[in-house]
Amino acid sequence: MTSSEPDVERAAGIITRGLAAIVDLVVVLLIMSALYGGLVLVRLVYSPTAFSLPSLNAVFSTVMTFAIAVLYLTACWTVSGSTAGAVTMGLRVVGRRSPRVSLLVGLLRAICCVLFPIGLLWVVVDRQRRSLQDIIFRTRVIYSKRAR
Amino acid sequence: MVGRPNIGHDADILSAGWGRVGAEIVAGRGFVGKCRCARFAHRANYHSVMGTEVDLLKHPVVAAAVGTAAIAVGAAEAAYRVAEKVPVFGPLMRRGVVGLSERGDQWVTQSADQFKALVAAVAVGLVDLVLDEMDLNALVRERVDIDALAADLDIDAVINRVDLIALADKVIEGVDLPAIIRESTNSMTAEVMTDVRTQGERADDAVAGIVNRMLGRDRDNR
Repeated sequence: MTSSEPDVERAAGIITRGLAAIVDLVVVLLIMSALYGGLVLVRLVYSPTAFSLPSLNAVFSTVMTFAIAVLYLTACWTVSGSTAGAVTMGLRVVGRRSPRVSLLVGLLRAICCVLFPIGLLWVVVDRQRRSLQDIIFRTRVIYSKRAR
Repeated sequence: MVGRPNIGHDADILSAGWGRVGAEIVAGRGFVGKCRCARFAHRANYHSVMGTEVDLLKHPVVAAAVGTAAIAVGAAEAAYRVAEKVPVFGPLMRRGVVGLSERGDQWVTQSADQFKALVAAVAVGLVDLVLDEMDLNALVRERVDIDALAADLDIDAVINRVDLIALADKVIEGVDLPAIIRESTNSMTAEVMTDVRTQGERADDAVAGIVNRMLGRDRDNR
């Protein structure tokens, strides 16, 4: 699983990483929906008579979404190196030398990815298929195992 | 043809056996018995064999032989009747005949069972021998129209006698359906995932190739 042969650990390209990012976005939105549903249920339980659907505060929702995305990405990268989208597309985030990303690096990389997702596009032009976040935090995204 | 001798009980006992045999011969039963084997051996010859039987009965030699036998039996009856009337010899002879018939009866009752067992054993052995010699399967295949028998079989009646639901339950019990579904689902999912990943990797390479060409880079240089 953690074989470090350079020819096996090929860096992933924009298509797989983009698809993985979309899957992760869907996962984060699902988490948000679940949280919202839970909030509604809690409010219904505590004040069933004066119940109304909570109005969505745009700023609060956005901040919450960002926070959840950062938490989700950090947890996944530091624990296994793979988010749900990365597992689907067969990708893994590794450090420059180690097979895992440290908590701090993971957290900072997640914040960068959430605030500046367009940095992913650098993968297209970079010779080593690195995004801007990869260049800054010296990480790589590789195919977790060869498909063939 | 051979009339029963009207000479009293003892004479009746003596002559009845021979009389019966003669009557059977005359009636052609002995021939029928022999012909039966031939008939089973060659079914095609059945009618010709039956024809021979009738012809034999009408043959003059057979008729003459039967006539001779009848005369001989009649003469024996007459002689017995005459001998019976001789003063001293008659009762003696009658006693002798009675003693003989009693012994005969005794012998028959004593050895009938043994004789039957012997005959049965011989018959069984004979049948076994014949069956060993014959290839019954080949015989059935040759002589019996199995297709016609099968066509006449009432399959519906057989099916009605079978509890199909119980049978199906038993079959399903033997098949581990959940495991099969699990396996097939797993392998399907794995295949789909592998396919998606492979396609993604190819797409990555394709994009990288296009970009490299646009930027005028050598692909191997990255």
